[in-house]
Amino acid sequence: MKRRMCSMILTGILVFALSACGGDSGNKKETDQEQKQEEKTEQSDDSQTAQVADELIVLTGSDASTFDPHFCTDSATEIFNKNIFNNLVRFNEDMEIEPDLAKEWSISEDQLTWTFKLEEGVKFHDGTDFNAEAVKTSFERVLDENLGSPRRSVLAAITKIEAVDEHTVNISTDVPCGALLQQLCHPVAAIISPKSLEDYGEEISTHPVGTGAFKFVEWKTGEELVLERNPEYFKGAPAVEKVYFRVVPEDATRALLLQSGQADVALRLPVTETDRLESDPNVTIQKGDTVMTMYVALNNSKGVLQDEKVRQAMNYAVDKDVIVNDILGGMATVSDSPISPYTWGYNSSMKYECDVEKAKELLAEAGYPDGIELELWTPVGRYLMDTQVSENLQAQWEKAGIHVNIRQWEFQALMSEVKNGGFDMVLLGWSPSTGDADQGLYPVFHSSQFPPNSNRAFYNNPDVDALLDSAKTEVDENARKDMYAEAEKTIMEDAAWTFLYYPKQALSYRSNVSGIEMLPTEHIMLEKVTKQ
Amino acid sequence: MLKYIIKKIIFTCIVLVGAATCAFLLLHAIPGDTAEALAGPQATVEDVDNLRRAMELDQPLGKQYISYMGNLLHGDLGYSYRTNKPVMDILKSAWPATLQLAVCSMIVAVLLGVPIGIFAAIHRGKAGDTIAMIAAFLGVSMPSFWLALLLIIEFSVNHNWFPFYGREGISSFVLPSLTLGLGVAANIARLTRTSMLEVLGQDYIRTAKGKGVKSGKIIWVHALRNAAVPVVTIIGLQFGVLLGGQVVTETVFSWPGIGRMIVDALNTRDLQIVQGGILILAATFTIINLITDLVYALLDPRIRYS
Repeated sequence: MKRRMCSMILTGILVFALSACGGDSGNKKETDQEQKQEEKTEQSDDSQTAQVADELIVLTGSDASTFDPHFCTDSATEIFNKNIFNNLVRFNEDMEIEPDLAKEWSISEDQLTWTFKLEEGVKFHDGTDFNAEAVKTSFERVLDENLGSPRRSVLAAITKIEAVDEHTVNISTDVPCGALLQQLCHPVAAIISPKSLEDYGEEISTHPVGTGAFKFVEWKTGEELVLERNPEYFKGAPAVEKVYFRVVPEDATRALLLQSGQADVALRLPVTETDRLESDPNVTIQKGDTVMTMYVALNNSKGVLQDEKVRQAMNYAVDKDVIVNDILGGMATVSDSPISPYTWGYNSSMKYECDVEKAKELLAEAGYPDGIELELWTPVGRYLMDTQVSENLQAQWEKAGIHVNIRQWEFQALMSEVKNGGFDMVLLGWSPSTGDADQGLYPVFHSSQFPPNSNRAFYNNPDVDALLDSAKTEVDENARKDMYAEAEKTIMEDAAWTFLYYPKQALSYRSNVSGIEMLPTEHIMLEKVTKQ
Repeated sequence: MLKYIIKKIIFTCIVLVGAATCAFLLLHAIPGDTAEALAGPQATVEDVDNLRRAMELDQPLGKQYISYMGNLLHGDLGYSYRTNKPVMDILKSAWPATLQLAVCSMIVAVLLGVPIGIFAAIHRGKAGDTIAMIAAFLGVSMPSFWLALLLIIEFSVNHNWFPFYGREGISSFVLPSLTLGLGVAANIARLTRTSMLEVLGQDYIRTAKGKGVKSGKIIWVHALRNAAVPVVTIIGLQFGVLLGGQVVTETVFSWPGIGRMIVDALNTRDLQIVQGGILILAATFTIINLITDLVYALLDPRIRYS
């Protein structure tokens, strides 16, 4: 009897040891599940009465950071914000500027004041009116230095915002600003409801109130974001009742969920997954270009890389087609300019066709007939296949007598160290989110932008500086384009970087879904989405 | 006993202050600036400086530490730099998810590991022992990522028996618990076997056999109780591993747990969240150690606490 008691106690202890730790949360789990089930029932009740498709499940690799578009810095979150907020103007899929909350616009003769006529009768999700004051409030908020918006620099050219009347707003700059419209397309130029800024104060980051196609409902950190359709959307209410953005960090899991029909859309699947999904008739893979460019920043201020011929040799020695086809599965285009074709101001300048002999000759001319030795710094996991790309570059350079050692870094640590300038070469990407050559070139090639700013190659050419300065304040589109074309050509000839490729993006969705807009800025717009 | 518990609780508090301090200092020592990471690679120097000032990251380290520890005493873990949500709220949602998964995985591990270990010990040197130990060897060496995908393809994609996304309903626990539990079960099985073999060779077992006690009773009552102390130790230790080391499983199953949260936060230098996560894991781990210690006393009356 006593022994039986002992064995029961023993078993009991084991159970206790486990349940004591779980204790409270066990009950909470049940409550959570009950709540979720209730929510589910409610949702299905709603959907029965609605005419539009009841839900769209979108799988995203990373969770949102902040729903305050003035503070958002990651493109994953920008996708959510872009569907909640509108700007004055926006890009279409070909990166042309279209009206958004502004119907039309004009520029004054002195080229310093832009006048925007606003859409009338538009309401924010909280029921307040959208008007010129709202534009003024939002832009002044971004420009407030004490508030500390990390994207203030995008709108920094603006010196004055004036609400002329209820539906007219004047935006002034001290010097003409050629890229102003593109800057106004940037996610940081989103218009927030002024009332919501007052109501929520510091909690605005989790209470977004815009004018967009979808209203914010709920955000469960690390799990999902729920949006619902805005029936009063000024461009026409969307045809989906609710959108669930679910956080599924693992690529393979996103692909499997989409394939098994448990989700409608999967964002940012790598080529290994899209290749597999392409044979599935129920899944559509939409591929598109981006504004991004990948490159190896050659440290123009250090050692042998100060010599233009060496830098050119670095470019001639690499067959970029091998990288694009064999490593990236064709999901990129070989670079022929420092900026991608979807960036305004792009001009196909020149391509460094692979020519190992020429590379060797250039090295010999530069005084290094026996080759050179350099170090390549590469982030791990920051860009698609970054490590593999670096290893391939290493192998290709070796053939031309350029011995490269690779040093791998965690991205933030890499960025900190690059600032100090002690590197030879570093693999990086640049994505001008205003979609304009000003942001595509100025921060990375102007000599005033040496680290800690973004000219991480320490590239310095007074001619290019002058061209970039003039283009910044030129409003005439053709004149601007010519200046950028010349700057791009010079930068290519100077071989400031080893120019690599422009990555493409892939959007995967069930074949009964259509109407998703995929912009080269990597934003996904759902306002016209339909689901059969 | 009560005195012992009180002593342990005081000790736990000291451990937590130590953990908080270590976390704070280590996280500020790693390369990569918080304001820069938050502002992203495209931000200008002015953008980063504005942000740093607005978030009070420009304060001296000592001042930041004092204010962090001061807030901690009031139960305030601060706000996430990235989302501006209170860290406490984020932990409140992530910690139960991790704990529940750890408990379920441990149940799987104990229910499988202990019987398999006993079985192998009884059938020492025979085919059953070999098979059980090969299985345990596989269980220990199988990468959880691979196992998870195998389970998903077989039980979710091919048969649609269990979901493999998120945390809704009991059925969503099955695959992640199996993924984590099988590896731990293998460890427990190997240790149970070794420990049982040692006990089964003891004189008192022979005596019991000689007295004609039934073999089932000998194994489950006489032997297992004495073999249990090292097994309980490994269960306690593995539970800690399960709490902090689920990152891969949480990622594959989109489980909103604390491991994934800490890794994500570390990548974006959202240090407040990392500190909060480390603290809560340290606290849980110390409590589990306390419980393990108490269980020893109940299992083996020779262990006494003063």
